[in-house]
Amino acid sequence: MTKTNLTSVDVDTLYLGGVAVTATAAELNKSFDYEYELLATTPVAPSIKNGVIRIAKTSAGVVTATLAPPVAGTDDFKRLNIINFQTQTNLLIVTEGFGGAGSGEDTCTFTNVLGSSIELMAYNGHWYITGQNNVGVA
Amino acid sequence: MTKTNFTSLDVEGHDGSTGGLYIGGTLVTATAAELNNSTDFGTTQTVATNTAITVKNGVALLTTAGALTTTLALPVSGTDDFKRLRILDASGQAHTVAIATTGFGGGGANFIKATFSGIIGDSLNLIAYAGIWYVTGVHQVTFGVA
Repeated sequence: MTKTNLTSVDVDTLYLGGVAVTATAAELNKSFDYEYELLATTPVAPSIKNGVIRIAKTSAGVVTATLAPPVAGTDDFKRLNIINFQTQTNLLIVTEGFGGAGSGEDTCTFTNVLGSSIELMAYNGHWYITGQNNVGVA
Repeated sequence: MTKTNFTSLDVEGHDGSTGGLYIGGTLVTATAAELNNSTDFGTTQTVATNTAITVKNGVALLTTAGALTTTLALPVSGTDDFKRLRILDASGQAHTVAIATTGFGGGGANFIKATFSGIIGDSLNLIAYAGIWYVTGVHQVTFGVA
């Protein structure tokens, strides 16, 4: 098979083996272009919206992290996996509530176990909980 | 850096294993179908009546002031493999999603109906594989008999 090398390519419509790739570049990036952030201080506001966040303060004590709401449309389908990386009952606060549910659903408390985690997906301006392990939401 | 523009480009030899599209010298082993099922977030179905959830790759948004009784067809083995469906409660009701007797995850009679707790933000997250909807994560959703 002959291989053609191109330094940079801009394709309006890409086909692979005759099948159109219907996923947009933005969708591909949201699915695969992950970032990483370490939360080592408190209080703190995570800055990334797509990737993995580990909570691990350098000295003992609970971290309180407040996560800003995602931007409707622009951030839709971005995902965060937030992992407790220290034996503390760390807190994750979403002021408008997970899924926009308000004050009764605005605080995620991790159990003081390594590996406690929560998975969030952005949709229409809210963070929805799509998975969880050893956390409580109230 | 020289950029080459194409209106339409078909990497005809792409088979996901022996040749096709390379990025930075590395073969992309995912096929177009795999890329589409995994990353094409599809459409949003707003579910406002007691009806079937028909979207298979995307979001089903449950709305209405009363609890919805919905159904979800099984995915097609092969064609729908790895599609992801997120069912989100946007109205805070005890909605239900019923599936065929195979059950969620192939769990049978005790996993035929998913019931939301009645709080906005509840979610049921599924991935399709081999004709079954597998649960990848939930928030305040329980499973039971039909």
